[in-house]
Amino acid sequence: MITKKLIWLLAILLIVVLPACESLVDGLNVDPNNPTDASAELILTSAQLANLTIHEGHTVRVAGMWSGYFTGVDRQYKDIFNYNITGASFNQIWENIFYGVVSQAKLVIAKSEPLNNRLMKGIALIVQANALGSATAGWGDIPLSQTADITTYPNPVFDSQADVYADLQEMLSVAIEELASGIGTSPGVADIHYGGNAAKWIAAAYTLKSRFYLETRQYDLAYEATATGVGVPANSMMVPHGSTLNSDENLMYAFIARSRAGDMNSSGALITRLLNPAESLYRGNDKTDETARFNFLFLTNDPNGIIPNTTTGGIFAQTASYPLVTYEENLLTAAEAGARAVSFDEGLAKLNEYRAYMNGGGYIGPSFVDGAYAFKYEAYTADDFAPGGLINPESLSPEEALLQEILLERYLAFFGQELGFNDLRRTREESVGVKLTPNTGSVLPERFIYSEAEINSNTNAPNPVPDIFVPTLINND
Amino acid sequence: MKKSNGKSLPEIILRYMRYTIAVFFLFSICAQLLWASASIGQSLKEVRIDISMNNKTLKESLTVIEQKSGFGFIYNEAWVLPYWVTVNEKNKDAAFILQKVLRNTKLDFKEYGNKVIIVQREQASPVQVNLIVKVQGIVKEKDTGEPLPGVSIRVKNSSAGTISDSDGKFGIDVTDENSILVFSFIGFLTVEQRVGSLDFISITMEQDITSLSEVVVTALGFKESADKLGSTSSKVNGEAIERSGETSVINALGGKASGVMITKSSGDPGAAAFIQIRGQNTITGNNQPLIIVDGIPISNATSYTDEEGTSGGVVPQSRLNDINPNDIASVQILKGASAAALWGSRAANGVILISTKKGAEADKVNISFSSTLSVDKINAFHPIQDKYGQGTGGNYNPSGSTSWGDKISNRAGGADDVNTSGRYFQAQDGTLYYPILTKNSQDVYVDSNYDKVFRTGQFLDNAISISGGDAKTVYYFSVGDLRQKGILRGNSEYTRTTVRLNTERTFNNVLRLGVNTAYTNSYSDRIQRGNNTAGAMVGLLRNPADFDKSDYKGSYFASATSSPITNRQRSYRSYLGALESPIYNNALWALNEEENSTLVNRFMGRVEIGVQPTGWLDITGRTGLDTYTDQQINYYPIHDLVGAGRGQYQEQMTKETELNADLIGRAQTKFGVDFAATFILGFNLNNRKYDKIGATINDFILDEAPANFSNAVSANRVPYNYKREIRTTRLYATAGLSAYESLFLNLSAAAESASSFGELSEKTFYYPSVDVAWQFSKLGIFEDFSTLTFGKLRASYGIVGVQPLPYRSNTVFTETTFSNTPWGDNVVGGSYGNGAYSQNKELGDPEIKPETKTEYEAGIDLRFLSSRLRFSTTYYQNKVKDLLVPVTIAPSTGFASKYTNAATLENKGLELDLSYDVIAKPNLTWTVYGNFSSNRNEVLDLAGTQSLYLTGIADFLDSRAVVGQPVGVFWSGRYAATAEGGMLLDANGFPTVDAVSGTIGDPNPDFMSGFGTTLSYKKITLDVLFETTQGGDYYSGTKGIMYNFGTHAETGNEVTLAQDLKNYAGATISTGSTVRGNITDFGGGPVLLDETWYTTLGSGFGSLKEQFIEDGSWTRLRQVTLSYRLDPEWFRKKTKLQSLELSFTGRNLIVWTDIEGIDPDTNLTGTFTGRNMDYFNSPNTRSYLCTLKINY
Repeated sequence: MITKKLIWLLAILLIVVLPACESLVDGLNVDPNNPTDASAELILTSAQLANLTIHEGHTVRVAGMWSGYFTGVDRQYKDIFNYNITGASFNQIWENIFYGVVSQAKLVIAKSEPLNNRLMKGIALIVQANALGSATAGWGDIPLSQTADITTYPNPVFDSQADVYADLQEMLSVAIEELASGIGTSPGVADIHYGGNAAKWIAAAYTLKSRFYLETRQYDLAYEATATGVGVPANSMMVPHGSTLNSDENLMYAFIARSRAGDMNSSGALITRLLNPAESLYRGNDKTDETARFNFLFLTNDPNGIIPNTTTGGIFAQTASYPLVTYEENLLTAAEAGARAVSFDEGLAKLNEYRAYMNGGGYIGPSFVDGAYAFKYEAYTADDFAPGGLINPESLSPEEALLQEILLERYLAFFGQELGFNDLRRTREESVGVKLTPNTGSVLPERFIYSEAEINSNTNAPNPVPDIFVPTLINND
Repeated sequence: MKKSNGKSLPEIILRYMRYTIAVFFLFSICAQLLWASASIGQSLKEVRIDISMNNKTLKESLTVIEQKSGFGFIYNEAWVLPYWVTVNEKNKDAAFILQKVLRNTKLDFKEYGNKVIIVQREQASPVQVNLIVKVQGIVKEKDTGEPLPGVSIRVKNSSAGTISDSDGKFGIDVTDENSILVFSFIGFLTVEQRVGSLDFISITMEQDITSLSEVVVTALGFKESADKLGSTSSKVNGEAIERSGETSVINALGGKASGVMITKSSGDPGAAAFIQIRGQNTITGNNQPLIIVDGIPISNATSYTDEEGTSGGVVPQSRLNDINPNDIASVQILKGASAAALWGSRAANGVILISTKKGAEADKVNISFSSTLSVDKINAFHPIQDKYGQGTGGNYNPSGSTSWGDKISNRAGGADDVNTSGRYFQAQDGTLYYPILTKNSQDVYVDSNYDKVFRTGQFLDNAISISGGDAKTVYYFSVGDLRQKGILRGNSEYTRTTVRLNTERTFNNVLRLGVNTAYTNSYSDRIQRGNNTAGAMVGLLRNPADFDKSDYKGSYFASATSSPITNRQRSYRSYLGALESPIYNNALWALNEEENSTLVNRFMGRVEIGVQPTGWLDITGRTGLDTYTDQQINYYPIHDLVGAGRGQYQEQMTKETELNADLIGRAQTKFGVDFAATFILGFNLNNRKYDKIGATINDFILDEAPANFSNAVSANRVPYNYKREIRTTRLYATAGLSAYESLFLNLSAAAESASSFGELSEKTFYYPSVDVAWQFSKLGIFEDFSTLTFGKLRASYGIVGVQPLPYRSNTVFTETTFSNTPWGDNVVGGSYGNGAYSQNKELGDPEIKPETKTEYEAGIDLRFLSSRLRFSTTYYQNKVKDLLVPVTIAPSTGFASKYTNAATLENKGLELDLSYDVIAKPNLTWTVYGNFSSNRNEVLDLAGTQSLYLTGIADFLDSRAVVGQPVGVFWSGRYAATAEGGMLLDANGFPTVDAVSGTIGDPNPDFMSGFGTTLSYKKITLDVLFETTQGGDYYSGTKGIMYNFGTHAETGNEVTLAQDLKNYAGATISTGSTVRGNITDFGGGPVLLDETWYTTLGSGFGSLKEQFIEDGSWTRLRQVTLSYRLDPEWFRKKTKLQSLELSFTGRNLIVWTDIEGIDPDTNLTGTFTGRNMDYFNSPNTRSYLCTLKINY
């Protein structure tokens, strides 16, 4: 009887008091620390920052160690240098590509389309294409058609590498169209590369197109695209850097000079042997002197070996801008594609255009070309490539000799960029080009390993996971 | 900025009061429903009435008495029908009249509070009303003389009975002088007393030591007999905590309770420890138990972590360390879900109830002073080789990173050849260091470097307490002061000052008031450790044997003529101080030049008001406040590694306030002698507010300016803040029913709302529990079975939860920071453009709800041989559903994770407790005791994610949740396997690493146990406690890294080859050569492990971490205490002191383990989920303590 009454009582209490309990805690779960939305401009900056991490961080260090640019000498880097690596170490970069660039860029587009801000849309597409192009070059098949749409595609498929390249060309074409429309509001300084300048973005888009065509060996199209690519050095797409610790520094500087000093240098790396006048492999000749470039790229008198130059004025100085899409790339792509798809003369002309640029100091830091170090990049003539000519002692055909020289120039120019790794893999089976010997064993790495975060959570991820010695589709002929 | 929707404190209080009134209102309805209104607080005897009834029916008469007395009568109408009554009395007490009315019937009455039940007289006893001997009396406790309330007093062989009141007083009517009163009370020996001619009986009751009918505290703070509960809890008394010699309450619990695992983070002073009760119950939520002090939940946040794990920096502190262990009367651990269910979504990890000391009524003031001196020494350290010098490939290099250099004994000897013409370093004491041209010196510094880093630690703990009181007021006042110096030299210290005042006043039978206040001031300064290149351990253990660490600071001269760069750091990677940042800090720099301090001011207060309007109803209002500020400073001068040699300074103020209020009504009643019930109804409001504000500056403008934010340009000043508020309301009710003093049923339910639940989730969650206990030994069949003193079967079921973290129900936008791990720096949006914001990579979940743990447990408690042998065992099984995890989402979806209710795990376990009084004589007692517990944990589901990162060093060696494995398994690179499952070896016979990381070890122990003995002879007591944990894997990260650096003793070995052997690089080393290294066989024949192995795949930096997983089992002599108490009569008279106690304690004296170089009771990741990871952790200690205690 009493129990019954108690139950009644409890029931009454619950009815009366519970809503009160609930209302006491209402409205307290609004995050006082973070907003629930942000403007397209601020998100664009985010996408651009994520994009830079892909091109200055872990991937290019790993690619560089597997391309004769860097040498892993201590701690984890010694092991990676010897081709021991797991997918876990690519988790962050993979996240930066898809969450950082693709997802944020799509947000920018979604916010810009209703406002018909075609300028913003075009920029966002190019940033996306830049990141995804590097991703497909490094990993082969990647998710693209079903990315950043979690409700529809919780498990995005991995598109074939060939399809990805085709889609990226399309993405860039759309971007160029959007930018060419002249419609839109400039994001101003929120665009860290070009300050919202449509013409500069269009040029960068063409250079990217030429890069992707080159990687898929569509040399005629690559050549064609370079004509409207980055046409002056000042229009190169660069990442600006500052001196705020752990915030806006040149990432290569932060790694080599500061947070992981001593882990990675360039001692014994192929590039140093090509550029060091004291080395037998030195590529200099009567028309070429690499002293200035060698010192711009490396500290040569450190007791711990040859170290990438992180001092003021050096390539990886704390505040040094980092190249993403450059004038020199455009020229050298025109040279290679021209030599392959147009004519020897066209290739040579473009190569000489590049050499002329370098002869004026090129991308070498001003303090290294103000008389402190010798440098010389005189124009080559067709004779130089004739069998027995200045740079054809091995008596290759002139075409081969020219291609060899252009590929060497590309290799040297792309120090610290993934492009070098891409070229090496693309030309590995060809008769000429820069030939690398493995750091250990007898085979060379052909790709990065897929992020474990992706593998573990995406049911459409490749299984088994290809190891680093399996060539990607475009290099697997 | 948008203002938070939160309500201000006055609003909360107002609203709280409103609902309080509602609850009171309902309570009074309850009272009226149950019992008709009566003269509050009176008994029938105290009500005098007039009555005049002539030949009326008994029913009519009863109705008249009912009306005149104000008591409610309850009876079966059929029983009263046959009787007619004549009675005429004036100004007689109602009891007398009632007896007269019923004299000629077969009926009798019983009085319960304010109601009267008419019952049938037992048997057809002769109508013989031998009225009435009125007996009054008082019951006191023998030892303290305190009155004992709640003692059951029964008349033997009769149904009459009563209970002593809050002053221990009672009144009872018996039929004659030969009646025997039986006094019984839980935890006390039952006393029988013949009434005789006494009309006032004074009874003293003695505690029943042997019965161990332990009085425990329930989740709400009420005392209850453990024998009546169907759930288990472990109790550790204050004396055992004091005796442990630990400065922290948590550590003092080690080995003392089954099912409770305490893991230290390190031997640093004031370091936090990790408490785990019955295995892992959450994956990413707060995994620490709820701490309740005197009924009030308090913060056990670990500073520097904010509910997040930490692996770098310094070891975290625990806010539970703020409590002075000397103030603790007892600690009780509610392990099971049913015991803790009333705390709802905060109780999944168990609840620890701490009761602080109270004063006792005494004719004098008790003053107690105790002083403890502890001497602490390192109990294990990594062995370091002293045969080979700095360098690589067998060649000396004075700035080389490793110790794979030349053989020191092969050097010429004498002073090094140096170049004195150019750059040099001048140490603070003037010593000059020049570039080394030829290394000649054979000096090694392994021992001297060690001695410069470590010292004998010590602490001095003084405490004084004053307590006492009278019949109405008791008080306890204490001051404690702890001063500790760590085993690391330099800035390693901990000081804590505590003040506590507990008072309780009983105003009258109705009202009592208790106020507890405690204040703590603590300061600590700790050394960087762990996977932190700035730390002292990294600096010491990577240091080559031939590098002298002294002269760590001085001036660098870039040339013979250049001016000095002052305050440069000299370390083995920068022996001339030429580098702005030295790659690794010199350990001495880390010890002496850095500051990592925290200063805490904390106040904890509690006010409890008790109102007892009637004998059966008790209303308690309890309010508590726990608030602290924590000022943290991290200062790294220029040329410290942190801040890249340019200086870094961070200061942060954390403020946390927890406000808690309970209103609890409790009603007790009896139905006849055989049935009793207790009902509780309560309301709880809890509000936790957390604020953090701070700033970091980098790149000092002035090298030696005072630590101030102005010492950096504005771009290098980074301020930050963080706010959080969580509010919980809970309504709860319990019913405790007992039958025949042998069957007990406890039911409880809590309904809870909390602010951190999602917008679309349910608003209220329910946490029911039920437990049942059956004391089967009270069955008649056991009466002849005298060996069994007591036997109880128990079973329980309950649901508890884990609250979601706040602000996770929306997808927010955050200021952009892109990390470049592994091993890279950040890019921060604030430094670019107009700043940058990105959509958070974690997807919010508006339907977020608490994790729920459903637990079943069953057990048996047995006591044999007059309770000399005590045994208890419990089996439990729980399933935790809706675990909140940041489910890893494939990044290609645009998000990295979603914090949602996704995972499921389960625990199954067995706990045993056993103790035996081998000898129990007045002057000699010897007890042996032990506990054993084993828990099996398994992650059942992770919502599609195969593995979930929890803590550790990400993508290096971390702790994860993996489906089918226990929570916290080690995850990293593993051996590549052949199809047959063997090790896949390379062409030279060395292992290879699998391209895919996987589970490589399980740190959870198979079982753990504590066992010991207590031997007392007269005034001498010896306590010995062993503790063991068996079967958990251990990651020897430090050793692996020392291999890479060639500093570990094993890497100093030399072997002479008996056959040609290959090294890892594939070179063949020929027979007969003596080389540096070790020979092993991975299964493909013997191979040589030399520099080529130890610096690549055999290195701790290498990808094959599985090789560094070892068996982390240990057994330790946790504690030995020998104490002597001096209190004979002559001593007391002569000194006016009550007693003097002297005790010696050895703590952590011996550790038996296969782990080399460090005591495995340490953990890199602090209080977070991971454990058993060593990565340059600070060593643990062995201590010798001496305590003197004087009681006045």
